[in-house]
Amino acid sequence: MIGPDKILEVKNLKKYFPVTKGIFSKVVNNVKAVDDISFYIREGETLGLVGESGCGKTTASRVILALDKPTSGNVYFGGRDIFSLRGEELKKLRQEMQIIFQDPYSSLNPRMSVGNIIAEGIGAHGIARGAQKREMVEALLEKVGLSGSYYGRYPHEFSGGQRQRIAIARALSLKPRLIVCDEPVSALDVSIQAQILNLLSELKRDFNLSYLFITHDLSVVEHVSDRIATMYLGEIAEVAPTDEFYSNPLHPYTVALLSSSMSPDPGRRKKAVILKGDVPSPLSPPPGCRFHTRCPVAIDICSVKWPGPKELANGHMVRCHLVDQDNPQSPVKV
Amino acid sequence: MSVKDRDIKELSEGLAGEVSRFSEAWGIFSKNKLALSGLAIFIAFFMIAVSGFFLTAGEEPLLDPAKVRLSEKLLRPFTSFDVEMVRPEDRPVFGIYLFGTDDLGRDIFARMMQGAWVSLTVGFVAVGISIAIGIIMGGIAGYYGMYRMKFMHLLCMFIFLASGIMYASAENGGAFIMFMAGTVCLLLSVGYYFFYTRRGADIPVFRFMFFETITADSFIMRFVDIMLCFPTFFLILTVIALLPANIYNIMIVIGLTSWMGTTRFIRAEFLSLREQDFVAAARVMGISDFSIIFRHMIPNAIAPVLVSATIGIAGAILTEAGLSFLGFGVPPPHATWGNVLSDGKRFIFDAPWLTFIPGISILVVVLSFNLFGEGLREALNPKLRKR
Repeated sequence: MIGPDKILEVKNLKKYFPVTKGIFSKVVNNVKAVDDISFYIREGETLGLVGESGCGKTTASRVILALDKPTSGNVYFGGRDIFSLRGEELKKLRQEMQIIFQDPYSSLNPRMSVGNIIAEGIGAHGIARGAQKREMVEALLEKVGLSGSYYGRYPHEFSGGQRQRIAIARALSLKPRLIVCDEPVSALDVSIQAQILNLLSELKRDFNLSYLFITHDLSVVEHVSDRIATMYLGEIAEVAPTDEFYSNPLHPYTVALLSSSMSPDPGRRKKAVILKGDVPSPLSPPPGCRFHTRCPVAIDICSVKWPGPKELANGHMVRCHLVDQDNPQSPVKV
Repeated sequence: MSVKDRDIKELSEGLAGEVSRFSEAWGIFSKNKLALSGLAIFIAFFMIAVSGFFLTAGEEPLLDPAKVRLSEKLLRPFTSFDVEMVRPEDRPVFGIYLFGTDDLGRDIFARMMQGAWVSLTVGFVAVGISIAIGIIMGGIAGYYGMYRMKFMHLLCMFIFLASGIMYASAENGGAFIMFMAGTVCLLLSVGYYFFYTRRGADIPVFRFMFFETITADSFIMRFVDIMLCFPTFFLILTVIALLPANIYNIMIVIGLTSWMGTTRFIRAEFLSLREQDFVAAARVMGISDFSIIFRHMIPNAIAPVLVSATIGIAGAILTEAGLSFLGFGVPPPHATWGNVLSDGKRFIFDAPWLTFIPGISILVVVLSFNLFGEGLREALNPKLRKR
């Protein structure tokens, strides 16, 4: 059920990491990890965020969860500006957004039992205590497909898929409304990936969750997302509903990404758009359109003028000079 | 939910038997025969030292390390006493001198028992102090290291330090003035900080107090570097010369000069742990910094510290013995292994047991701690485990 309310709204979010020099730590440059991104997630919706390694997906998620301070910009969760919250208010907010990490081997404390890992948040927020807490944890373990008898076991006794289930149980323990999934399946075997993805969509139905689903796997994101955003060099290049994203991709980068992904259906296979060169350094992103250095159809204006977001019909957004607002057609012909 | 029931069944079958980390580490440790014998000697030493404390303490101890029997000088180990010359209350408990007697006819066995307690307490208390300081300093440097220290922090610290130094050099009046000045300075900055953040007051005159200087990390770690520049043993000698010589001062001074290694270990572990996903997950759940440090970080960082502590105990015992040997340690009537050795060295050709018994005891205990520490390192660090 996708409601009309925006649960999360990110506005002009920037995160720069200063490069310092000398004993006085003079800032000589900035790594522009996230440079002016804006998007929103509606209640009960899954937004897929795709992009290659180093494009700022994970940094964006850390800032959205208030783990890092932003350089500028705002994040609104349920209408509240999360960066203005302090102390108890922030702690309350933390209950409502949780994260599932990529690597299930480093996301669980090896010195704590599974029960304690899941129960920690429940105890810290005073949701339950004693026998009631234990019951909740066992129920959560069973909810994610593990046995409640694993309460006293330690993480090293479990396999990768099982550990990821434990991490999911921990994220659910505070009854959040939004879960940031930071590549939750990319460290797992393909057969386990399917199990975890099914578990995630089952939980979304049961608990009315919203997901920000970060990945670089286009086949996974197609399966889980309601809308998909592409990120390139700290910037969101395109946002579109899933069907539209796959049927009518507009940004040349999205087209290239999609053409590079494998399809099991021979009829769907198309000629790949091969990009030349490497991603430019986020220390000195190219002027104008970020993508113009590798774009197959770049024209003069692309290297001069920075393309603003173009809002098209049915929630499609794209940053490209070559897309016509009235008649959206991708400039790259495949 | 048939899918889930099937999952539970499948997943339960795939799980190996319950193996705790302790039993896993013990399995590796117990295969190392040297480390195991180190542990055995450590336990034996511990029991000897504790019984030594109870047997030699009090008004009428069972083993009196200070009883002088001038007729019974420099007797070999296992010789019995002279019934005619020794009064009944001065007789050794076992009827023989197990380790012989020294030049004043004192029972070396009793002296060694008393010395064992000194070595044990010096080892544990000194290392305890150094680990406590090391964990606090390393923890601050590793977890809060990126915060920049304000000018007022440095100022308050400097004034209090000056007050401490004046107090130590018996300048009580000056120390009191400095202490009051430091307190006033601290209260002023705290008060101003409170008004600055809560009320938005801004007094330009006091703005220099908030001038950002170096980071807490470089402050602490450069201090560690400075401390490491001093040759520790000579630093201890100097400090001992200034302070009244007693066993507690020696423990404290050894502790205060050996925390740098622990600080570096803890800082390094904290730096890598704070980037781990499970710490980020705890922060996302709104767990307090205190809980994160004590429940997530210290338990994961403690293994190398435990190893260095074990080896550090050996070092502290050796340092204490060295100080006592040079005559700077525990004052004379009290026996320690170092001063038994020191007293005996004049008679090394006539009564070699006076040097060999404490010498070999120190060797065995220090060696056993080192072997135990090495075994612990291997057992606790998965990367060093043999396949």
